[in-house]
This record gives sequence, structure tokens and C-alpha cells, in this order.
Amino acid sequence: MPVDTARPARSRVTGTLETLMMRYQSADADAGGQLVDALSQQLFQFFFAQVRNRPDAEDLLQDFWLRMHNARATYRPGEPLLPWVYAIAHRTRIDGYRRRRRSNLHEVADDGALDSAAAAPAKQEQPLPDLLKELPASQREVLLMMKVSGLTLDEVARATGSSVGAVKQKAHRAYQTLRKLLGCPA
Amino acid sequence: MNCNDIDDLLARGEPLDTGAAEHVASCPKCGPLTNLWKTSAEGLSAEEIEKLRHVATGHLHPVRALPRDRTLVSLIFGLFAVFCISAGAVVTMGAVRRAPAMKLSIFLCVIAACVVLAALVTVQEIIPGAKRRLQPGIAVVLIVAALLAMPLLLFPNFTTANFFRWGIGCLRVGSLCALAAGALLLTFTAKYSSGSVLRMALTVGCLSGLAGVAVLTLHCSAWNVPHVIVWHFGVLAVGIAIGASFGLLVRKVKDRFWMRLRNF
Repeated sequence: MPVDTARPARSRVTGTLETLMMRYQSADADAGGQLVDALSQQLFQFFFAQVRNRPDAEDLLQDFWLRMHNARATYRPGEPLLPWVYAIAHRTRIDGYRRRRRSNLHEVADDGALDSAAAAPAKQEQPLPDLLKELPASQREVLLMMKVSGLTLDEVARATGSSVGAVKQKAHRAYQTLRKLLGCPA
Repeated sequence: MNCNDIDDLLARGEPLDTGAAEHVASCPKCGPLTNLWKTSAEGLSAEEIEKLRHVATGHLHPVRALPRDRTLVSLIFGLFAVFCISAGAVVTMGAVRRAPAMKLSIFLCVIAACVVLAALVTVQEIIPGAKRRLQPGIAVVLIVAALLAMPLLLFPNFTTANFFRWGIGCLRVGSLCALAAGALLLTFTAKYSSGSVLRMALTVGCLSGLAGVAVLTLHCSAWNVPHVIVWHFGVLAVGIAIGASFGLLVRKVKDRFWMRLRNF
């Protein structure tokens, strides 16, 4: 049985990301390109696991890079990059959720009748296990940051603007829910 | 090692040690839980990554990283002080001439402390992923409590003479000062903000409301509790309300723009 490794992405990228970001701040396009290469796949997984729709996840990722481009002065050299990156991703996801909900409401209003297909979540293409859908968005986000993106508890707390204790509690509750859904309570 | 220990390890985000790995390998209850993360969506294609590169590197020019929190808070505080003294000079500093110097100093020091708290929250909002030294809700409670305590402790005078005549004048002066301070602060914060528009507008509204309160403290010598609490501190409520309305409006405009762009 494969064993869970808590930080899959971290080992590949830490150490160079911060340097790349500093070069990106001094308008080094090559460093910007390398950052896109290093971060886009894991951010795409992060967004996709939450919206479960490829075009929406791509939209969110594009929105993320626009925001990161505009806010690059707010990164301080010497600070870890991932909490900064995921704080922007966290906000991108929240804004994206609100916009999609509003957009769905508009579409329903335009049609003049309640179309259940329009109000329903977008069709799944290639989802993470359906179980994750059952978790509240905040718990799912915490688990994804920890397991898919490899952030530590402290980094997740910084990215989501909450305390370490709150993050740990969310993760714990999420695992308990997952256990119940898997039919294997501890 | 049992299933609860595995839950604790997973919740802490720690890698599984040998004992835990042995448990996971043999336990039918824990195996599926740790395997959840193996499945994922198909990654991005080279073409899609190239498109993102264009987004990230288009119109690239060098930027200077923002200074440390302490420097930013000092900068906001300095701007605030310069603004209040200038606005006080324009609307006249009646209280400086008439009010007891010691009490006025204490009141101004408490307002200054409130400004430092609000500035700290504003800086936290500007920097994504910044360490949260102070929760915004706690900051608001502290500011309101400190401000309310001041008139009650410093001048427990409850007369209501000229309550509306003087009060409306104070509210007008304070609100105008708060609006001007808010506009000034927005030029500084909007440039860098990548977080919640609403929260940023609320913190800026709170800071600008405090600017209005500070100017009124320098300007108005009607030191009685009902007047100060209703009309002076009312400016803080006006600042927060205008900030919230402005934040909601900006968010709505941004969302509409996004939806049009998406439909286009």
C-alpha cells in the first residue's frame, strides 16, 4: 500500500522559488517564465480539485497569474514564497466562486425560468475522488494546500489568514468526515 | 499506533514515520484515506503554460518590494498625523486653546494607539500571506472600547445643550475630513491590494473615520459625553459605512466586468 508523503511538491521547488520571485520583481521575464513552470501545475490541481471543471480551473489560474503580476511588489525577499502565493490563490478561489454563483444567477434570470442544469455544478471531467466534494470548501482547501501543494500547517494558516490551531482543527474534521464517507470510522 | 494517531499525524501535516507506515499498510481503514491524494486531474499542456507565461511576463517592469510592517505602519501613521494637523489648521484647533492640555494629550494618545492598530490591520490586508498578529475583529473591538472609555473617564459631563446644532456641524466637518483621508489612503493601498476588496475598504474606512475623529478632537471644544459619543465617534461609523459601501460597489463593478469579459 503506498504511503502518504506529506509534502509532495516542496522538495522539488523550495530554495529556488524565492530567488526566482526576487528576479521576477526586478523584471526578469525568464524568471517569471520559470515561476509559471514551477507553480502552474500544482496551482491548477489546487483549483481543479475545488471547482471540478477544467475551463473554470484554467480561468482561475489565469486570474491568479494576473493578480500575482499586479501584486508582485508585496512579496518581501527572505519570506517564504508559497504562503504568499497560496494567499493570492485563496482569494482568487473565493472571488471566482462568488462570480460564478452570480453568473449562474444571471443566466437563470435571463432564461426567465429556473433551469436546473444551469444551477447545478458544472459537469465533472476528471475529478479528484468524489469524496472531496462532500467536504465544506474551507476544509477541502486546507487539505488540498497540505496534501496536494505540500504546505506546512503554519504556511496554510498564513495563506488562509487563520490560526494554526484553526487549520489543524479543520484538517482533523475533514479527515473524520472522510473516514465516515469511506465507511471506516477510527 | 492506531487509527486516531494516524488522523492526528495527517491533521498536523507530518510525514508518516515507520510505525505509522506499517499501520497504514496493514489497516483497511487507513489505507484508502492516505491514497486519496494519488488521483488528480490531467495537467496543463505546454500550450496552456505558454499562455500563462504571457500573462505573467507581459508589461513587466521592475518593482521595489514593500518595506517591513513596522516601516509601513510608521508611514501610514506619519501620513495620518500630517493630514490631521493640516486639516486641523484649516478648520481651526479650538480644542487646543480651550481644553485642558493633559486631558487633550491623553485623548490624542489613545487615538494615536487606535490608529496604530488600524494601520497594522491595513498592512496585514495589503500583504498576502502575512503573519496575523492581530485579528481585524479584535482590533475593531479594542478601538471602539478605547474610544468610548475616553469621554467617560476624562470629562464625565452629560449636558446636552446645543446637541443638534453643534453636533451636525461636527459631523459634517468630521465626515468631510474622513472622506479626504479615505481618498488619500486609497491611492496608497489600492495600488498593492490583491486580497479582499471589501475588507481593504473596511479597514481604510476605519482609518479615515479615525482621522475625522482626530480632527474633531483638535477642533471642537464641546467636551461632553453625549456630543462626543454621538457626533464625533459617529464619524468613525460614517467612515466604516462609506468604506463598506465603496468596497461592495468596487466588487460589484469588478464582477460585472469579469462576467462581460467572460461572455465576450
